[in-house]
Amino acid sequence: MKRRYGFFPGCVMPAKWPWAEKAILLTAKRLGLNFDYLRDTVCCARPGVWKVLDKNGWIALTSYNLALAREQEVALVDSCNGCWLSHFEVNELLRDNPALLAKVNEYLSTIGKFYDGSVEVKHWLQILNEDVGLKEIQELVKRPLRLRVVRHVGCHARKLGDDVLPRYFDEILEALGVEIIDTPYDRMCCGLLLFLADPQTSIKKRAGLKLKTANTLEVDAVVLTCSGCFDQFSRAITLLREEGDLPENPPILHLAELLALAFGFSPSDFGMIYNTTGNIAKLQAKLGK
Amino acid sequence: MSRKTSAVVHSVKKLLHEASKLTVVDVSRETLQYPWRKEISVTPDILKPALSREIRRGVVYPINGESLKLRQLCGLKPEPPHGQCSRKALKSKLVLLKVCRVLDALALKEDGGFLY
Repeated sequence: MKRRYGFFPGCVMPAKWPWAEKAILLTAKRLGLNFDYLRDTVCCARPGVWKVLDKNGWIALTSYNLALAREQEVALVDSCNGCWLSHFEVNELLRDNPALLAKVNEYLSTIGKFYDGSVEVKHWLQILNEDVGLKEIQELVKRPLRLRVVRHVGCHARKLGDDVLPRYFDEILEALGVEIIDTPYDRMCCGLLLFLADPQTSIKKRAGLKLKTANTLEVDAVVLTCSGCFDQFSRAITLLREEGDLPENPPILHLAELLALAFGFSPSDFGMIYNTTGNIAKLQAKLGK
Repeated sequence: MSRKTSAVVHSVKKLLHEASKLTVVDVSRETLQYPWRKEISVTPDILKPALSREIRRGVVYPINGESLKLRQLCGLKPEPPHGQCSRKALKSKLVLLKVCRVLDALALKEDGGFLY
């Protein structure tokens, strides 16, 4: 029987990045995955906020989603690095510490849930690279993308080291025919959490700096998988445009959007045309569509 | 080399020079530990308005009218089927926060308001 995946889109993607959500669903189907939403979830419990303020609460909330994945017999899949980090770290903590697992089950029992540490938590990049494989992805490419992009992997995606998710990200881009342009700021945080404390620095010296660098390098897009990073980049674009400090910039795309384009879907198939983060028409013209 | 290419090369060189003077986060030491905590002292009070909104709505970003429309245009169901904004999900979240005494610790009420 094929492995079943329960996708956790988090809260940013359904509200602000629906074309990315649609692209993930379309490409999962094209890849032949048994892929659907994880149902009845709660918030991932943002690791950068809840973990710092109340570790106990963070573990309990996150365990709820793990318990749902166990009930629904799926591997839990995240595309947002923050959601993935919460689910992954809490799962590891519970697997390593039976006393903590027992405590969490006390909390979960108040709402009729139970968790045993059995769920597999996977980043969407792991599904593509480890479960599907680059060869199969390449075989499905109908239109190699002759694009030059800057990619922002995101800091939480470096949790397992540079040789796992960041490498997967690059390998998938290359499999689609995309040219990756390195920048001096590739490893720098987007500034999402810093925005809570110092909006100016967060916008101007983090996301804004990355966007201006992308402009200077004349790339076609900035590519991400993390919804938290998308939230920060789109906020930075809005604020900098209001100040007249960013006349133009390449669009911010989810890697799944590039995957969908390479697989032969058109931008209107998944709503990419509604992306207002940058000049989509220019990108479409370059793609010859 | 065309004039335009030369200008790009010049800007990239300038960029690299500026980058060398700036502090770029050292990922091996800092990014995984939330760099903002090292730069700015963030107290729970700064986060409380955001947390109270999150508790009231169940999620950081709820689906609003604009997102409903966009979701439909993208060919998605208006309400995300994973149910993260549902009443059931919010109730479960509040029960968990209550049993863990998180609301007390953060001086937040169940409706997302402050206790003081």
